[in-house]
Amino acid sequence: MGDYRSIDDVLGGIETLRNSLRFSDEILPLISDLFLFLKEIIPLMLEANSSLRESANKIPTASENLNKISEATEMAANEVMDRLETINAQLDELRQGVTGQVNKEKLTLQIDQIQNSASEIIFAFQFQDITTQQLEHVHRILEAIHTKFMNLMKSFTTLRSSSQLGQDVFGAIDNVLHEKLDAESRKYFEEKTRDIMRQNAISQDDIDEFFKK
Amino acid sequence: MEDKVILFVEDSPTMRRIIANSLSRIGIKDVTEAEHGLDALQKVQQKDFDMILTDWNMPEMNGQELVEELRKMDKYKNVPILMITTRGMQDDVMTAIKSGVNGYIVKPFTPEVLKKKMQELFG
Repeated sequence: MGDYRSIDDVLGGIETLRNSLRFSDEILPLISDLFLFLKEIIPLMLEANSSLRESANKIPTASENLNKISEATEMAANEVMDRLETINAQLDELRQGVTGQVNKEKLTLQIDQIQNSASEIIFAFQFQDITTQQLEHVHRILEAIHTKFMNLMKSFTTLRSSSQLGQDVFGAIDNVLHEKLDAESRKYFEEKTRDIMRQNAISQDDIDEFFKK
Repeated sequence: MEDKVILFVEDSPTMRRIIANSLSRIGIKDVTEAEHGLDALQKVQQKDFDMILTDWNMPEMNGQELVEELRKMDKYKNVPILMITTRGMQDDVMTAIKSGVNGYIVKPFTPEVLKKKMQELFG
């Protein structure tokens, strides 16, 4: 065998082999078909490899963004609750001030403090804008990966239907995959990818209706 | 600073409320809002502003493009522009400076930071 460093070297080798052998009329069409099939599938496999690598690289970024969203919402929720607790305590002090001897200066200061706490609550809601942008980024990554895989699937489908050999090879691959993907691993994948939150699938009114029946 | 005329450009309705609230607390009364860069370019044709606050990531025209467009206008060559954005990488800040912004705040920010930065820009 020669030293094949690139795909072109491999294809060139097959071409040379084809030309150097004298085949009977029955074998030659099969070899020609095989040659064409390899010529079409090799670039596709390279594309699949590159798509998988790119997707694998992007998924941690998407995952990291989702973690950041979780952290941002938690931080904002805590911030809002802290401020509300402060406001409650400040209102208690204010009530005592109003019911007791009124010190105008002190009351004004307390009102200012409450206003500041309220303003800080408003600012804590910046998380909404920040998380929206992070979610948009995750969405873009997932959409790009989806498009890449859809294009690949389309190319494989075209290749499959382009020749009898293609149908046979892909049929064989399907059989192997079905054997490999046993019931347990299929179940694991389905469980992990099932929609956890199907929001708005049913309204409260619809739920209440169920209880009336 | 209370008598200044401000335009702020922000696509998020939540952020618009937050910034409007903050400007009101600072005491600024004349405030105009725009939803994106193109909207802001229309607003600057109708009114003169002393300062422009802008987000970066926006539909139609983003903040960086808006700043570049504003800096082409004689009227807005020297008007202070403050960018308020989630983009916090050094490259982003450098790009914004090259576009012509005078100040840069990364979200989330506090009302004090906004007030201080605006005071700095008004000198």
